[in-house]
Amino acid sequence: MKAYLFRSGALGAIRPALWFKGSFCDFRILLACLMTVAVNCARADQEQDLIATLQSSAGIPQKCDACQKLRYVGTVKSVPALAALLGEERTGHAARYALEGMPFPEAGAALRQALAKASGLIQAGLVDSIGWRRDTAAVPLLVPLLSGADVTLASAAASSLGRIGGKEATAALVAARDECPPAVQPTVLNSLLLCAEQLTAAGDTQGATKLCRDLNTTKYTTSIRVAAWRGLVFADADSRPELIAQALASQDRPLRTVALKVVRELNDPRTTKACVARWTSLPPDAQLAVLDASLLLGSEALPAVKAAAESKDPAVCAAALLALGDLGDSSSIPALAQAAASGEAATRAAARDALARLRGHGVREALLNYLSTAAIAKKAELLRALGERGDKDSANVLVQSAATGPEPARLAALESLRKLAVAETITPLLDIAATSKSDSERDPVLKALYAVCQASANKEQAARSVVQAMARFPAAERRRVLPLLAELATPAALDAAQAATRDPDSELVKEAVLVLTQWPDAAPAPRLLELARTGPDLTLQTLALRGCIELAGREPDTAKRFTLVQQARTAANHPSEKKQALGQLGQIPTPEALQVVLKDLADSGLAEEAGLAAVSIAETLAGADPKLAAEVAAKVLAQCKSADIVKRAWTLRGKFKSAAPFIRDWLVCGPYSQAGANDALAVFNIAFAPEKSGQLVQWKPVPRADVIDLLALFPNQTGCAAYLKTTIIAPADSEAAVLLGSDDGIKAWLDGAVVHANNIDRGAVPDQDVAPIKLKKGANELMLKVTQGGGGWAACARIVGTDGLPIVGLKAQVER
Amino acid sequence: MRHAFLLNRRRFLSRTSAAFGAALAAPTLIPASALGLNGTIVPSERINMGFIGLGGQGSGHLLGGAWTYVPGGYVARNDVQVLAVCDVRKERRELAQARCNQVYAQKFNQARYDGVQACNDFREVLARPEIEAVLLALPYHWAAPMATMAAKAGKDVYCEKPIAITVREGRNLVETCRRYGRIYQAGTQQRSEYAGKFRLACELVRNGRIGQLKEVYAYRLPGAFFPTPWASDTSRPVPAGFDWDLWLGPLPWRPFAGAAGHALPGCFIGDVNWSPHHYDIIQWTVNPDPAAPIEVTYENKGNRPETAVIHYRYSNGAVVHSTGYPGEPVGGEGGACFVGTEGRIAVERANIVSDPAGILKEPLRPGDSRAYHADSHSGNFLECVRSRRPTICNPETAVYTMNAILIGGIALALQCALKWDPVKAEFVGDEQANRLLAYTPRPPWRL
Repeated sequence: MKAYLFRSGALGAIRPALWFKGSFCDFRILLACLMTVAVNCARADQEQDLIATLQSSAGIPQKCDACQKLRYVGTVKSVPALAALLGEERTGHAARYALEGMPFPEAGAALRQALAKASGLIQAGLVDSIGWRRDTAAVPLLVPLLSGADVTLASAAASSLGRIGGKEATAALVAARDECPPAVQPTVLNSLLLCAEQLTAAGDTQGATKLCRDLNTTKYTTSIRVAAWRGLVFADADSRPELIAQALASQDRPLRTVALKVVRELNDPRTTKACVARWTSLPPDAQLAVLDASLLLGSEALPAVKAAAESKDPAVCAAALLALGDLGDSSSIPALAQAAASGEAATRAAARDALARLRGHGVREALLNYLSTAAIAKKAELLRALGERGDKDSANVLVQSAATGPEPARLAALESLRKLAVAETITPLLDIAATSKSDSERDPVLKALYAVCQASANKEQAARSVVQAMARFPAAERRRVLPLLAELATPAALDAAQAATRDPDSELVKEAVLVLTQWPDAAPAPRLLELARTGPDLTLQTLALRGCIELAGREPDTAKRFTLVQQARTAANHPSEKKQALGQLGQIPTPEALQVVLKDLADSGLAEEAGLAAVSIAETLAGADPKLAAEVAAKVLAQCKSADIVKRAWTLRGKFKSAAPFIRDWLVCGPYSQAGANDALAVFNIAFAPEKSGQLVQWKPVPRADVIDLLALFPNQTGCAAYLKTTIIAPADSEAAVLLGSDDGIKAWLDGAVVHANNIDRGAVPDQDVAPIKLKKGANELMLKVTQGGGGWAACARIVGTDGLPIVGLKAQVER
Repeated sequence: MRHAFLLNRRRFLSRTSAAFGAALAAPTLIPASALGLNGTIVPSERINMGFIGLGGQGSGHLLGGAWTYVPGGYVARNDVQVLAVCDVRKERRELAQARCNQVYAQKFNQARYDGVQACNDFREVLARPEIEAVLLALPYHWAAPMATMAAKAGKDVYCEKPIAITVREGRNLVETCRRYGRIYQAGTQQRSEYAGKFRLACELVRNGRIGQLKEVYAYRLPGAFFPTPWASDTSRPVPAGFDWDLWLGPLPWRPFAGAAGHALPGCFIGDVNWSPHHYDIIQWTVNPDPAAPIEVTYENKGNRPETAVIHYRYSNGAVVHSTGYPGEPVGGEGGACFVGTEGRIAVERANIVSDPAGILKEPLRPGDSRAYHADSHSGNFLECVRSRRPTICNPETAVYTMNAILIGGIALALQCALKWDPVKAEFVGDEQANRLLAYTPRPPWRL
């Protein structure tokens, strides 16, 4: 487009390079200078063309477009042509748009000159533009308009005078304040607030205070009154603390509402302290606001925050406790521990949070000291806090409590040990586990142990500790800590776990097999295979075989993985393990694996799993060998019935883009919606009239197109569905597939039977979905339901034969 | 510093405010039960609201629906009283009115409940003193002007994105909300919803879990108001019950041409509708110095509009790209990918992933800095209306994000590099680009 020429890509490409590489190069500077010259020439040419358009007999849209471009390319040269249009409503608006943005005094002068000749809305628009230009020279022209009979014009004048500001404008607005019509007054008052802000910013606090005091009266609307009060607060620094403290304690709700916001945004220590001094006279919502403001004072606010933490109001109390986390010191610990151990959920949570965050000199020592004397509930909270604080140096204290209780403290200590996961705690935790008297007592210990093993940087050392501890344990206890070995997975851990499979205790052996199955790599697979073949009983053999197949999947080397799965498969006698092995083979994308799974296609008991595996492998191989993929797809389609596998096999044939024509002839009906179902997903399964037999449906022809734009047919609709219908004339009975794309969800029926459903929120892309269908010779009715959640709404469909190619002689038709 | 923004402040409402009580007692169309006289929640516990714009998003908020996260909508909430519904389409407002009245009839056990007013002109809603807050779900060009008018009328505002179409509109919005002491929340609900995925990404990045943040991939172009054409003479009959002139509002007049959804065709370059969600999360996470300049560059290797790319360089060194991270699908559905010196995190509504994976497994520590926490976007708005705390996406935050989008959109329109001064809200040394920071409303509408 011509408008872009003057800042086209070449210049844009240089400037980023300068910024991103951070260095100037002489050549680039020279090039940039040349570009600037070229740009200016292009800009001048373009401006001349645009001016010519304005001065021609072009239509309104063309002239408006020229104005729009002149907004950003226009120079002083274009001002007269734009000014000439200002008296007309539509082009005048566009011309004003151009002139308002131009930083030349000539543009301002043109707007002022037009003002005298204009009237009505055109004049009001000119006044508005003058205001945005903050054209002080226009004030004498605007002031008389304030008292005119046209309230729209008077309001525009008031608005612009407020933006321009200054003595003359302010005086005019003050004079109009109580004299203007009610329709104009809100704008006058808003403009006076604006003038007051300008005075405050300029340091004339006295002038601003006077303006705001005059507006802070019940004579005006509540919103003006409280805004004036706010202006006063910002203008009059001396009175500010008293004003806010009074407002926060006031029964005047609108005033207090604004004060609650202002006290937070002010960040004014003097004001905050004044409010704190009135603490007891403040209602709870004001106390909360003051608390928020106090946080900005830092430690100076601590006495007030501590006092607030004693509040009987739970929310104030909770907020103060939270604040203690930021501002508190070691002296806050007893109160926080007490609050964490008792009271309402919100205050407990706040106190716990604060205990976790409390920082500063001596806090840790004070916390540990208080631990020794605190009552049980508080002790538990302090132990919990040690974990939350990430205090790894306190591990010994925690282990001691974990070993000796009492119960709340024991559980809190174990939870903290879990969070801290200190390597040195592994042996004492194993000892605690060994002496635990019940599963419920042992479980939290094991959780902590898992965390320690997981976090351990020295897995070898941790594994040695576990193995040594296990040697001291009886079989029943060993069973419980055995899973730690899989977490550590070192050679020593593997040896220990494999050794456990040879233990005389059958339960321990079973647990060891399960632990080996959870191993993070395939290292235990040979031992599991051995057990699968020679295990003492069928149950163990089955467990070991399943474990071996699962572990095979963790072998990164494809050839080794294939060998492992094959060995396991050979050992499998039961279909379920054979199916599991097929699942693993499907993850091995080699021709060898493919050949193995294809053999199982003929076995009716394994056909679906074999088909899935074959499709999975062929999908990976299809890029390199599309012919093989097509052959596999044909074999799978011959044996498998599962919809998902059939769809994937169809997709494998992969020739959908061979120019099969889209169905272009459709009838449409809709949109349909139902109260309470407000999005695409919700309407998908609601059966509207076209899905019901015997319902009257008004089908209308759709303009022919490859992709049917339902949004254009039914604009501004959401949470609804439309239906498309066509008649497919097939040359013969045949198997085929309908390829669908939709925005959003789509459901398809062929002769009344659902052949596809995808309830989804998406954009349309051709051939997103594939639905296998059987066409009969002659007419077949295809109906689509397309849902709409928002944004685009469209659908497309085409039909291909089993070879993925268009079906010769097939056509779609509707009665138009 | 961590602030206690999470607590429920409802209990702190003064129940004795004479002024408020008088305001509520004034309208005669509210049944006594709605005023809490029949054992229902007392009015001071409820926020009186008006709903303006009743398309998919607006009616979803009101009555329940996707992307609004309020089961049954605001009308089902016990802490909200819907007093008015408004839309320039007659059928929409009447449907919403009937549904709300039906809900309240059941709730207050009053078969003939008719306390919900249906308005064509939003100014009727803003004129009602008892309405405390409005929810705006509007065509793009109306969002900022109407939010500003609502703030002037003393209403708190929840506004769906895009919240402004020009920088001037945004600035005016911020100043007006401050001046009138109003609570405002932008509808960028990714900050609060989606099980906290976006907040988690933000906090992990801010706490250095991916090392120093170097790059962010936004997966979306920014956009700006850049009307081509400015006018049109294509004309179709205005549907019955549709107030076309009011829908158009401050936009240049043109005859109805059959399209009046979220925006007029051709009014915008790039993406101003979907990008606010994601650029909002990006600004939240990059956490730039709000006063520092931003460098914006334009790149287009394909010379087609859709191949354009915008880059932002922030003062902390982070560079934001409008493209997706190569090979990373998460973020493509709408989200971002944050790349640091020690890893990356990609997040979208349904997924959050990291590389290395351990980044997501290590929980945040008590000493880590936290982002503003809210688990319900609507709930946060209502809570802040009561407490007067800033919302999770207050006007300053929302406008900072919207400005980032708009300046990128202007770079896209002018196909050039720009430098942005957020304090002055203008481009540095580029008067031509500065001319695109505002537009001229059609009278009688003004900002």
